[in-house]
Amino acid sequence: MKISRSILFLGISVLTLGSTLNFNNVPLFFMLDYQPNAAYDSHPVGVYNEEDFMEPFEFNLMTENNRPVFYSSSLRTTVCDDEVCEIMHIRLFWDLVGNYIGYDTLAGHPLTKFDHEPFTGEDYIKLHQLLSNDGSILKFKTKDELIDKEKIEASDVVDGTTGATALEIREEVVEGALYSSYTIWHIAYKGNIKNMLTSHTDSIYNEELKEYFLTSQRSDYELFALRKFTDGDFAENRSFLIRSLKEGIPLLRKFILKDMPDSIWGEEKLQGQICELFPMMDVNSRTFLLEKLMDSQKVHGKSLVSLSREMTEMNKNQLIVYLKILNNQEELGRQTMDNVEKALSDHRFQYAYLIDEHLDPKFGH
Amino acid sequence: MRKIILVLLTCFLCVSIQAQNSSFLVEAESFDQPGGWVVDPQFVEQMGSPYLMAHGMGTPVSNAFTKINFDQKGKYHVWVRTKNWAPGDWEAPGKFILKINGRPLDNTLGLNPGWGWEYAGEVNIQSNNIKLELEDLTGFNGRCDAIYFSTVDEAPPRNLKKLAEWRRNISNEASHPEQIEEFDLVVVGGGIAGCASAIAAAEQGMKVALIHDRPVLGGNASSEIRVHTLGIYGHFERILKMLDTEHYPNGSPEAYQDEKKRHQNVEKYKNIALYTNWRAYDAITEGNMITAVDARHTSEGKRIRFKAPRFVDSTGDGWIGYWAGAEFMYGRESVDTYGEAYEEWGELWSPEEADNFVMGSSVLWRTYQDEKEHEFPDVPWSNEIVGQHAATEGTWKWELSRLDLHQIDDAEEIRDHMLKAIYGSFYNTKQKPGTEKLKFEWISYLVGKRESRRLEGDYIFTFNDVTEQRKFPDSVVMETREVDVHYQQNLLDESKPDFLSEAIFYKTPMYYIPYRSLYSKNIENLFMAGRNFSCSHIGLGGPRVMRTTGQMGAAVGLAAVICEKYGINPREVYTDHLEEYMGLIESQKYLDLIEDKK
Repeated sequence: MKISRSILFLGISVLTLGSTLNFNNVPLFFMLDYQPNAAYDSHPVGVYNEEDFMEPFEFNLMTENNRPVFYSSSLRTTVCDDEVCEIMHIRLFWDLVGNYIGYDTLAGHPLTKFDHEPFTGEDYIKLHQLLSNDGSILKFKTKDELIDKEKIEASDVVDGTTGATALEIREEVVEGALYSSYTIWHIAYKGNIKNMLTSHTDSIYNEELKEYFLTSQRSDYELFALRKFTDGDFAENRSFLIRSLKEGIPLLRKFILKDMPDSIWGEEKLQGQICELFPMMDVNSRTFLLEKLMDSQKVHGKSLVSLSREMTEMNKNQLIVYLKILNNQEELGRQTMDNVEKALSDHRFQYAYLIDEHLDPKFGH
Repeated sequence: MRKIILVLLTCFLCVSIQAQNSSFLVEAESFDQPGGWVVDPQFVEQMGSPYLMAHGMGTPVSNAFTKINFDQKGKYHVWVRTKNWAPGDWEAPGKFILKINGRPLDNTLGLNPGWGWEYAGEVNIQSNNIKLELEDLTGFNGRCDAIYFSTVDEAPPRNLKKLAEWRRNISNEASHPEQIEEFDLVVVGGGIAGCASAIAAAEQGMKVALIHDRPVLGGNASSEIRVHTLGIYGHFERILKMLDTEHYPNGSPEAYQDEKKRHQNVEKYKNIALYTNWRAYDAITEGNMITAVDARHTSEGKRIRFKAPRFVDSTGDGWIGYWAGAEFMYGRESVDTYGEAYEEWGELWSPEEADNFVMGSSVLWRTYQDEKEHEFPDVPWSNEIVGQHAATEGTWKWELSRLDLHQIDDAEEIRDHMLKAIYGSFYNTKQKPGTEKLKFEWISYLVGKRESRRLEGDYIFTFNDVTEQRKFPDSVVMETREVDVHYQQNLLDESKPDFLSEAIFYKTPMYYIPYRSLYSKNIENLFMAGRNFSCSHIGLGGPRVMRTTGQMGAAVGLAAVICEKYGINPREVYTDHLEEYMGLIESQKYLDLIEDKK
């Protein structure tokens, strides 16, 4: 997840303002387009609680002109080390499929470190950077592992990140706010919260939201919409399919190829168009496409021609699958055979020998 | 050693002259002095033989030498079996030359894609004793499998099957090893699981063979791969403390210290016959029983048939079971196969449809700041993989899994892909100011695998056994370690390098693994311990770490003792002698001292 320019700008404004926290209702960090003048309506969608929470977290869906935009929760949570607990106030934001997108302070409750020193502007930015990192090292640590207790010295502050905190952790968390960083990161990435928010989106999903998701250019929204496609949706959204196979994330490509109904996949034109995209796909999508063709009842000549042009770009096992697909054909067209011959005689092609080994002699190459 | 090789080579010569009319083969791995070249036996099943590799981390390694005797003087054609491991529009990275009595043959080698015979040149042999020499030109992993001399201008076959047959003919090798050794238990694989298995059985008085294809014990925990051990000790703290590691960063040379400890401890047991540098290559069966395992020395070529009433497969890749016809699993089961969903992670955790996208293999590496400056050459053959990525070390996240790559069949390609990733990322770092003194400290050349074949037992351990913390009457392994399943970063963000992974953690209280997951369901005298135990893909996510696999090993070693006592197979330990077996395991807690069996 990348931090947009606007967020960086907001971050810088925090720096210059120091600890003054008057942001005219614009969240400190927010990774969707936030319209400062828009009227966002808040709708309670549920609460989430765990045994050791000081109180349940309440969640709200924020809408603009009745269109769902994001989820928000203003929460109070305890931040504890072995001996002392402090209360932390913060507002967290998630997108409509439960991904962290930003945070804000609550009025009268600027963030503080464990020694009660206020967060600096840099600390606020650091916290957002940490929360934006879904692969943070905090994921792998239990609270007990944050501090090497054998190295604690009397001078270390309780929530300090000096001395006893492992270097790898220290680099990621807000200095002096180790346990706060840990606590908030684990709330932002709590699977049960993500599931709850995604389920709610699912419950209100409609045509309007589908259109919004399909044009959002957010991978997770596109993926969510795709997974709910009917056969009719596949038929009506060919341009989305092609664009996504070309530019989407590999996981989206996989599900398009996996979920596409045979009636659509069997269309000569569309299948050919998709095979034309082979060179633009990542290595795993290429493999998945070849395997799908291998399992397909009908592989069109155009598809074979497109892929024959890419033989020298295939990996060893991809080439073997492609040659099996060719072997499954009664006969091959002139263009395909020409490209096969060309690949076979290409001295720079490291797998040319596989063509000899695997292509059925019936084609007389 | 040298003497033996000379005799061996002379035998090759005598035999081959009869068979091939002045033609003979020199296996590179049997060179008298490998110099800076390393013996790499990892991919024997895929490319046919151990080979020598110039693993110089960018600096040419010192020459490898051997002496051979020619009975017949004259002109010989010389071919070398090698490969260009990174072919493309650039100079081959692994170039080397062959010298005979100090004079180079005409052609540079390591130029052609795929394993095959490259023509080195013609040589006029005028003396009986000659010196063969491999000279590395690059330091970038040139490789030499064998050198073939022939008065006839005909290269040996390229095709792997034909080559194997040709090799058998030219060496006039008998169909099975003539040397036979008999044991109470044969353990194949000297990782933590195999070592624990050998110790547990040996402590109860069994005569054990421990066969391992590397010079050092420990597998992924060895100084050659350097992954620290994770997990708890369960019932076997005493045994596992002899074998495990401290929690140092992966890749740390502190691995040497723990390896020394491991060797001292294993070697204490007089009734463990340790066969390091021996690689098993076949399992001989009668019906559903294994009668023997055949192994070959990784550099000297000699063979031994190991006979025993029972065998432990701790090879990681499940080779013994595979050769014996044991049922096995590979790949990710569909989420519905065992009901292993982790809702918020969806496809990244467990796929809707089964696929082969298993957890990948890692190659760890380290750099250091030297006192003087070091140049590092351009590595254009890495550009496509690395792009602008720069790094100074490789952590566990340096991991490769790809849908088109099989973790066993394509292991050499996986290793080589990681080498490109490492060299390219280091090159990019070296272009930055302040890195002039940065130098490679160490790069593993072994593939550190997480997952491949899993042999099927009477019970298949799955994620549900974790989520339900299911206890079994035969719970012999226990663990609290997270279920930790990896996926490739570029699945979610194509701009990320394809050699980096991410982990999904499922935190859990104590869970248990039953003994029934540790023996084969259809090969009656085969145990398995290690990552090839009976589990689903997700089931492997937690207990694949090495203290847990060590627990499996120890549990299996003790089960073998019960088998021996009653003359039964592993299944009958569960059906007929479970109480005694669990009592034996429980008693391990009360043994404080290592009993010296000397």
